[in-house]
Amino acid sequence: MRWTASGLAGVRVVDLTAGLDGLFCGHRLRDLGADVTTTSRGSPAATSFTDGLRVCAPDAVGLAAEVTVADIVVDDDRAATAALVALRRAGAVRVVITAFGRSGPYAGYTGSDLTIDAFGGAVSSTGHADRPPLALGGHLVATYVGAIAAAAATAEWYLAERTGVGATVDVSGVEAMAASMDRRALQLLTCSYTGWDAERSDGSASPLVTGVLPCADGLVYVSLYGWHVRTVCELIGGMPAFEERPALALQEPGNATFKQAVRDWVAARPRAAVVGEAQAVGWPVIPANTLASALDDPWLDEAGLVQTGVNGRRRPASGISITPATGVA
Amino acid sequence: MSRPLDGVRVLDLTVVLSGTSVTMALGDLGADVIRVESRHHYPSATKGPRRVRAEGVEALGNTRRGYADRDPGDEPWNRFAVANVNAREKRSVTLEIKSDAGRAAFMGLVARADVLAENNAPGFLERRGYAPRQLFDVNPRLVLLRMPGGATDGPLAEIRGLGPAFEAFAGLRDARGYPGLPPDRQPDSMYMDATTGPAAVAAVVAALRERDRTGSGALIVLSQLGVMMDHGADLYGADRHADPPRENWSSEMAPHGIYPCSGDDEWLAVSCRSDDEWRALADVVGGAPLATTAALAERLAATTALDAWLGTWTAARAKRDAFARLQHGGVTAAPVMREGELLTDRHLAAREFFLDLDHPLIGVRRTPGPAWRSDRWRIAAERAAPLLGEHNDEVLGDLLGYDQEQLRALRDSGEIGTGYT
Repeated sequence: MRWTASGLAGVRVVDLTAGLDGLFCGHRLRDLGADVTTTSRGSPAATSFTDGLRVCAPDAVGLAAEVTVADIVVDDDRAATAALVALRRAGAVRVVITAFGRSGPYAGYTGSDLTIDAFGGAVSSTGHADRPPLALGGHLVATYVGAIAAAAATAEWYLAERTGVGATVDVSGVEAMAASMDRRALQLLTCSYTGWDAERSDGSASPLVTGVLPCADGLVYVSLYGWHVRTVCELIGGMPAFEERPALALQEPGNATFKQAVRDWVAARPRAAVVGEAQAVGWPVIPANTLASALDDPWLDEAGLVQTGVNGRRRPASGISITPATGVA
Repeated sequence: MSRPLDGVRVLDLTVVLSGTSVTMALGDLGADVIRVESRHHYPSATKGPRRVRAEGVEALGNTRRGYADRDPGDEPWNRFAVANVNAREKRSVTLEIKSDAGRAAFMGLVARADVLAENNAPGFLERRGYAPRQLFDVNPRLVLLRMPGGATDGPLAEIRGLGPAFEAFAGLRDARGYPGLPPDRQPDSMYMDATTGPAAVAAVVAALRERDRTGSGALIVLSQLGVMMDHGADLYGADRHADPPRENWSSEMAPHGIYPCSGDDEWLAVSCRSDDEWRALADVVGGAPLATTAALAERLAATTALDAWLGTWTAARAKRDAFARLQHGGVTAAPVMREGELLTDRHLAAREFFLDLDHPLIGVRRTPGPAWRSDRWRIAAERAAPLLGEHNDEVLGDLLGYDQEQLRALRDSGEIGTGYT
């Protein structure tokens, strides 16, 4: 499959932010067909998101001219770019990305992936109760906030293009995380309903095997709940007691025996066999990877989800394909 | 006060969290979102068990115990946070899209829709006779949004699972974790469910824009796995991530971590993002084990000593006090917030982030608002989640022109109703 889209063709975007959030916003808009200019950053991570973007120095001659004709200007409310932002035309959309938003007692406070996630995201409930809580790793918060900004930019431009009236959008990192489907929005409504804060948990709601397990030639992710026990017993074989009374697998001493049998069955088989046999009977076992192995995964490669970037480096594809209805067989 | 999607109608066949969040966001933008559900197939992943005992609710775990007032009641699906969190402003219709009567009504809705969204198991539409081509034959201007976990064709189409499993497929579980623990003891997240929403909203709006120019609808295939991987593009490759995860450590900042504060299970996150912030941190805390001129490489090499020094300072302070002192001193920091603290936080209150929405069975409850705001319009914030089938007469009558006799016939046959069979 080719993961390509062009719905934003002709839309001119200038990203003036210093962080990866604004850069990812431009990257997503480019993947949807927009013409995007961004400014260079010192971060090595930034080069992963600049394919197809025009990259120039923050003080480049010509950047001001681009801002004056841009449809969408993305910035982070820094004094250093205020003069440039002020050059935008009246009908343009301005998207402002900050850690805490442009108003309120914490307006102007700074943020990072870690601190934005700590305040807004599901950090308090992630990890083990006897250890510190865990935030999302890498720059996954920044790219998520950037994706929110891209959705906002697209929607606001859709309105502005029809009305001729520009807008300013306020994207707060902590609010983006608090409204996130990475558990936090659900946990907030749950607390609103019940008064219960979420407890720190490794995320697994199953007393059986859930998580990454080694198989003969790699890794798989196993999800196994009580309603899978009979199916799993039929597949693995040799466990008539659990097959007859699945509840025995949920409590000791049967629980340990059952889990070990599952681990042994998985460990003895190649990944394709484990996934194929399990999925065929409705047991959701999925291939797993490390960050080092994922881009070489044949399943992902065959699906076109790994591509070669402009610098010759392998990277994930956009994962978004838009085909005109007239072209659908 | 125009909103971006005023006049746009969305048919919502989505399930669980990622898909339903997309259609809710389209509703926030002004779209009329009509949720189409079966009375005969109970979606337990979205609505929880059919019957739940109130005394057993607390033990169900963080994501499954959200019953209003801790009481599932006789209709637990209407009181369940998973079912309601992404349902504001939606209308609910029950239809059996496999039956003749249901098919006629559903295709009537398709003909009058701008967007149809689904994230069901692979082949869900095709098995029911609604392949994309058939839908486009009825409505060539339709934007059909499909959000498979992996893909709609090829080997990934046969792979079923939930977000945490696909996160492992993507390798992104490597991006965080505790040192020394085996992979199956590392914590899950639902990052994929989060990343699908904004990607799908942007894609739908882009497709609507293209439709306005060309007159042609579109098929959007959004691989939830692919979109999630794109978010972590900078992490991939053996040369980029040779180290195993080390809690909240970063190779780009130091000190960088989550430190204990006074009180029970209270924590403060600190990111020293630059040499300037290091000098500011050393100034606020005092007694630093390194010179204020120490560069990043030197600070990274001294991570253990720096963490002990900073942790001693935070442990003697309340997290909000430490947060204020560090931010005012020029250091990036934030408290680790629990849900109850966020719901009453003065900053979010000043920004009116939360919405107080009235639910017909539950009453007024506080819910997270949209992730961003425009200076030109606000979301309607009029309705919390609809009850099952609450808008059957309104939608089928007003939109499709069904008269009372036709609606009664559909009710008598069990096609429409307000409860599960």
